[in-house]
Amino acid sequence: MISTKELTRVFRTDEVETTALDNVTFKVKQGEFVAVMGPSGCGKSTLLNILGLLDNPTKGQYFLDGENVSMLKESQRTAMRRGNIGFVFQSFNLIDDMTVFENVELPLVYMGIRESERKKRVFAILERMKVGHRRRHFMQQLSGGQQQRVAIARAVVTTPKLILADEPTGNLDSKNGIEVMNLLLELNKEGTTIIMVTHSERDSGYANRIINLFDGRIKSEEQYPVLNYS
Amino acid sequence: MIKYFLKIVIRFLWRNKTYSGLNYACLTFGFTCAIIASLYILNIFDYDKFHSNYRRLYSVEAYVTFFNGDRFPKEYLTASLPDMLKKHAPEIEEVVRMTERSYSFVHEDKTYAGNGFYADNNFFDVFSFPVIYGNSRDILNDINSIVISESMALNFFENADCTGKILVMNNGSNREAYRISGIFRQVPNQSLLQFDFIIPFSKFLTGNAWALETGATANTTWIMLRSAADWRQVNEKIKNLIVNHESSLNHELFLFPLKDKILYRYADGKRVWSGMQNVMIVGAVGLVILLIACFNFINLAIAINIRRYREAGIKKVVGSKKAFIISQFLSETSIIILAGMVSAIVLVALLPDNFNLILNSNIHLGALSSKIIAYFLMIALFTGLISGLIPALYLASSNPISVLKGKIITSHSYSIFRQSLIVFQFTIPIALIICMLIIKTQDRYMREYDAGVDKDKVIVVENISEIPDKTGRLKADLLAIPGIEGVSYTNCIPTRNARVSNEVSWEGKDASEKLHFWCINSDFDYNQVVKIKMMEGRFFSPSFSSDSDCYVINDVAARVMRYTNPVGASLTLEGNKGTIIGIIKDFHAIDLAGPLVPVIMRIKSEERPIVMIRFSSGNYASVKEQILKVLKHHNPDASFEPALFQDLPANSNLSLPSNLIGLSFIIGLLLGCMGLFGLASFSCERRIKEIGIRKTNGATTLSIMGLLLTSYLKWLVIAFILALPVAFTLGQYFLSRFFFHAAMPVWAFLAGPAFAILVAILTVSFRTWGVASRNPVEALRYE
Repeated sequence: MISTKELTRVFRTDEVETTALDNVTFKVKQGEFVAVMGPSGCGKSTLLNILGLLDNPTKGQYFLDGENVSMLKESQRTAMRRGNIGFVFQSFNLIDDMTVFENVELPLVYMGIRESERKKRVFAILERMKVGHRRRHFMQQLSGGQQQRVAIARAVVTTPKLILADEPTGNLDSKNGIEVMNLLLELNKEGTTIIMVTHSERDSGYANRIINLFDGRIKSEEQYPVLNYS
Repeated sequence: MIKYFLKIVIRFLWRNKTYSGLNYACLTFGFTCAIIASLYILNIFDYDKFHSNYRRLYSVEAYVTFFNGDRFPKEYLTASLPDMLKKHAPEIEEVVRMTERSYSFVHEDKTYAGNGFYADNNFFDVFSFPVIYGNSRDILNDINSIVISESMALNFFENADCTGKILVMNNGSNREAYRISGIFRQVPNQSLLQFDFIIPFSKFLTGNAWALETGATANTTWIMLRSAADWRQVNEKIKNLIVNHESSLNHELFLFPLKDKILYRYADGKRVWSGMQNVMIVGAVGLVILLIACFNFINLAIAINIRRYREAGIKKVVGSKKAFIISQFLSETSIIILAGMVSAIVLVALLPDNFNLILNSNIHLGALSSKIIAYFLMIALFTGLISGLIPALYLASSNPISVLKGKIITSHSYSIFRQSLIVFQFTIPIALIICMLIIKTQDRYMREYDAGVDKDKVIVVENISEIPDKTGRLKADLLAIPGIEGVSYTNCIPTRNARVSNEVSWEGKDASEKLHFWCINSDFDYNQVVKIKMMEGRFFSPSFSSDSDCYVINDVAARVMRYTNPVGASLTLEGNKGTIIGIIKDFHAIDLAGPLVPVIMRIKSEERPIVMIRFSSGNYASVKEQILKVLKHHNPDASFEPALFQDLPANSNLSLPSNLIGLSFIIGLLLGCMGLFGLASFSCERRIKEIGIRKTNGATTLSIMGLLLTSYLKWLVIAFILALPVAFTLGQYFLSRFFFHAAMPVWAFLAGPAFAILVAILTVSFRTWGVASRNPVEALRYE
């Protein structure tokens, strides 16, 4: 599903040139759950941004479903992202001025899906994430765990092929963290490909493959059996 | 999709009530002021357009050169002009002579006092005042006929159709009967000519044969040009008509279009503003308030929307196109603009009738033309685009990665653009308050100027000619009122003009000199009421029987006549030779906008339509009541309006412009402060963590306030510096219009801005105090 070839990302300022990713080549198959690990500044988030079509590599190639998407224009990346990739962030990134329902509904709106269909899908996913009863609430009225469930609901409401999660449990206590990871695992079992950046050894245990990055390069790759914490 | 967007937009506005409320209030205020200003201007430009021959109507006037070389327009000319005009300019289709009078009329037990004209019988053919009863072609043919207004008719009779009925006019000692030959519909407010009755001009001529003399100041003359005629050619043809007829008269005729009559007057051969002054002031004030309101809106909208980088970033991540984000921001600003516009229209529609009375206008929404509506839509569109588009474009093109990483946009938040708007917003009110203070200073200077009259103790009654006091009985009765110490009949209220004559000659006068003198007809008591300063000689006295053939002149007249020893010299005024017995000084016949003019005073028992009464004790109300009682006793049918001299509307009326500018200053400052308050709120919120850290490290509340206020003070000081030259230039131009004017008030350049800046700083302090005095722990936890 995902294939990168010598992916490089260099950040330049007037004085400094920083190579965040340096010739990264790897593949991810459909249905895999991949954890990307490594120390701070090793390029994990940069890799995730490029995989999520939020950024373009400076050099190298990125194939998504066989299509070279490494040098798309922003509008093309947006179109490609819409409905195909879901994001889960450490800081949830939900819109404060919108209710739970509206936050989850947002990607469907941009996909141009009819209102009745949107309602049906949002209700269903909120029930599944066990936050259906909170659908009229605003973000300030929810706990961190509930907010992350809403964020996951928003990521999966379009039934994307790929979910990219950036430290999804970083802002959660252990109980809520486990619940979130179980949700991701459940989605993965249903066939959704998940790539997750994490510092947490425990969370990486949910993945069936771990890519270790160091100074922008793949240091090692490990295949692990899936653990079930539930 | 639209429904979804609307819901989100309305939610955002509701959840940000301070922002939405401030912006809505500012815009509504701005739009309301701008709509009122537009309607007021339209109202003035629409004057007289109801005349079907509107563009073909001209007033015939003359430039007259005065003693100091100034040229002034003269409207009242000889009644013999029509023949001359028609003979030399065949382009003229019709000529109408008119002279204005105020009379009271009686029918049975009812009276009516009104203004009207003696006018030629083609008056209703030339001007389009609809005649509702009677035939407009012949209603002024009978010398004893009168055409009255519908309301005047209904005052006397139950039915407006009262043609054939008789009205009696009180004309001094004469009571003249007139047969009503026609009724015209009430004269519209937007008419330059305002009148209640028309009497045939031939009637005026029967008692005033002098009006036909070439140099007479008898009546106004209106002409209607033929359709294809060029008024410039006619101007050339009529220019020297009077001079050619009588070379000693320095009249240069010209045509003044009816359409400009309300806007301009001619002075010194130039076209200067008359009503146009109000148009410009109201227009400028309306535009400035609208601009301040729009800039306020733009500033607040950018300030709040720039903070929404996170929301925009998230939307982009989940698949929003740029167009969606842009349309969302535009929708939000459009909704506020639309609400402001609709509210302003409703407010204007609900304007109380008093408002029109104050502005002497006829403002109503129906007058809004499609062109003006289009202008407003353009302004609204411009405001919406700038305020919505700038942040929208910026946010829509921002990198979602930086946004998601929590990088706050600090490097570029259009701060220079926004600060410029704030500077502009405060430059205007600061300049306005300085200008207002300059006008007020001149106003006070004029009010307090010693024009030779104790304004607090002089009562003026006009139209007193309805009681011809041949026996002196009325004067005696007025003097018998306790507290009254002087009564004088005259044709001149000081500073309010007098009759001008050029039929003046003196020893050694150059025959080619064509000079005008201000002629005051009065009695022996004028100097008792008007405290005249004698420079040489004496004032008229009943002890000298020959004084009724003598003259008192002012120092300017003496200079013009080049008399070194004027007292005892001879002078001839309008054919009456007499001796100069006294010289007065510092007497202002015209207001302070003009110079001291040459004045000749004489004792004359006719043409003194005004009585001036000096009282020393008793309050004005009770003295006025007793005066009215005496006047009514002498003429029960006439109506009189005694007024304090100081209450008479000044010719150079400075109250309206200064009040308008004052009002716009208040509105401008209010709008500016509202905007500043909003910006201070955003700024405080943004710096809440910084404030918490500073306080944790020992900063006091005052030092934090000082820190926050410094940035605003900087903008205000820049606004102050920019406003100074603007206000100085405008103030200097304004003062130069007055021959006698106050010195440029330096204090206004300090006090005005200090007040404006103080109000602005207090506004900001109100907000910053709340943040600066907060517990730092709370601030840090909040962050």
